[in-house]
Amino acid sequence: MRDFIKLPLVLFLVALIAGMILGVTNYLTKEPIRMQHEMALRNAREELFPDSEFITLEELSLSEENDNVIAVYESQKDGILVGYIVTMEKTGYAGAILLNYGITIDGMITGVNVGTNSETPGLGAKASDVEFTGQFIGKKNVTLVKGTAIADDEISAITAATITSQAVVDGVNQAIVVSDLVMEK
Amino acid sequence: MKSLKKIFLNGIVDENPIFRLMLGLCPTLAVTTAAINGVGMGLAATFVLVGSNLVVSLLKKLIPEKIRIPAFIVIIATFVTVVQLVMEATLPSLFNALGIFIPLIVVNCIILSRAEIFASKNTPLAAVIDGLGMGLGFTLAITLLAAFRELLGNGTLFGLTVMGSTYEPALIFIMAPGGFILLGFILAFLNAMRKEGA
Repeated sequence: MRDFIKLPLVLFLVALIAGMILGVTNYLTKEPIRMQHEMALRNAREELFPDSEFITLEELSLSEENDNVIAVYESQKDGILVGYIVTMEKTGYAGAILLNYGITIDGMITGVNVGTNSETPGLGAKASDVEFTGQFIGKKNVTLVKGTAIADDEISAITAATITSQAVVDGVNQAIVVSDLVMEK
Repeated sequence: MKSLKKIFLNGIVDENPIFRLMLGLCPTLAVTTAAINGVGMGLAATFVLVGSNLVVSLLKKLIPEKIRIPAFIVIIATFVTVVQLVMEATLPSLFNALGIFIPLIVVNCIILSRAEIFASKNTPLAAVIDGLGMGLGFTLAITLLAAFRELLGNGTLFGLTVMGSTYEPALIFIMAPGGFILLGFILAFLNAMRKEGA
C-alpha cells in the first residue's frame, strides 16, 4: 500500500522539476528565438529586394485558388513602389514548403527564397541551394524542364526531385499572378 | 570496477552503439545524408547522453525500481527539449539542418539503454564517462557513414566538392536503401577486421 502513495509522488516530483527546468529554459530562449526568426525573415526579404522598405499588405481578399498565399509585402525604395514579396506555402514531396518570391512591378522575378520545408535531404532539400534558386533571377514566366535548361524561360529541375522543383516553379508563376492582382487594386 | 579509460573506450570500440550494439539506427539512417549533419546530430545526442546519464546516476537511489523507466524518459525528454531550444536560439542553421531529428533524440534507444544498463548501476563519474564514450562512438559512427554517403551520393564532403565534375553522383546512397547497403558494408568490414585480430 505504501507504493500506492510513494510511486506517484516520486513521478510527480520528477515531472515537477523537469517542468520547472523547461519553464526557465523557455523563458530564457524565447526572445533569442523570436529574434532569430525575425532576422531570418528580414534576411530573406533583403535578399529579394536589397535596401528596401517592406510594408505588409492587409486584407488581401484573394480568390480561392490563392488561399495558399500567406502574406504579400509591398517593397519600396525611397518611397517608390518597386515590387512585391509574395510568401506562400506549396505542397512539395514531403509536406508544405514555405516560399518567398520577389516580383518587380513589371512581373520580373528578383529571387526565390525557400524557407522551412521537410523535403528529402540531399534531394528535394537542394531546392534552397543557389544552384537552383539562382536560375529564377531576372526571368518572367518560367517552365520546368528535366536536364539542362536551354530556352530563356526554362528552369532546370533538381535531379531526382521533380516534385519539389515543380512546386517551386508553380509557386513563382502563381506569385507573378498574385502580384499582378494586388497591383491592379 | 572497470577503469574509467576502459569505460570510455568501451563506447567507442567494443560496444560502439551503431557498429556493435546496433542501437539507434533510426536517426542514423535518417540524418546521415551529409557529413556535417552526422557531426551535429552526434554531438547533440552526446550532450543529452552525458546529461541524462549523470542525472539518472545521481537519482538512482531515489527513483523506485518500478517507475524507473517513465522517470528516465522524463529526464531524457527534458534534456532534449533544453538542447532543442538552446540550439534554435544560438545555432539556427544547424537547427534547420537537423530539424525533426532533434525531438527524435528522445526515442534514441542508445540513451534509454545507457540509463537503464549503465547509469542506474554506477557512480555519477563513471556514468558521465560512459555517456561521453557512447556519445562519441555514436558521433564517429554516424559521421563515417554520412561521409561515405555524401561522397558517393553527392560527390562532396562536408559541403566541399571532392569528386570532379565528371563524377555522376549515385543518388541511391543519399536515399535510405543506400544508407542500409553502406552500413552493411561497413559492418561486414569491421567484423572481418575483428575476426582477423582475434
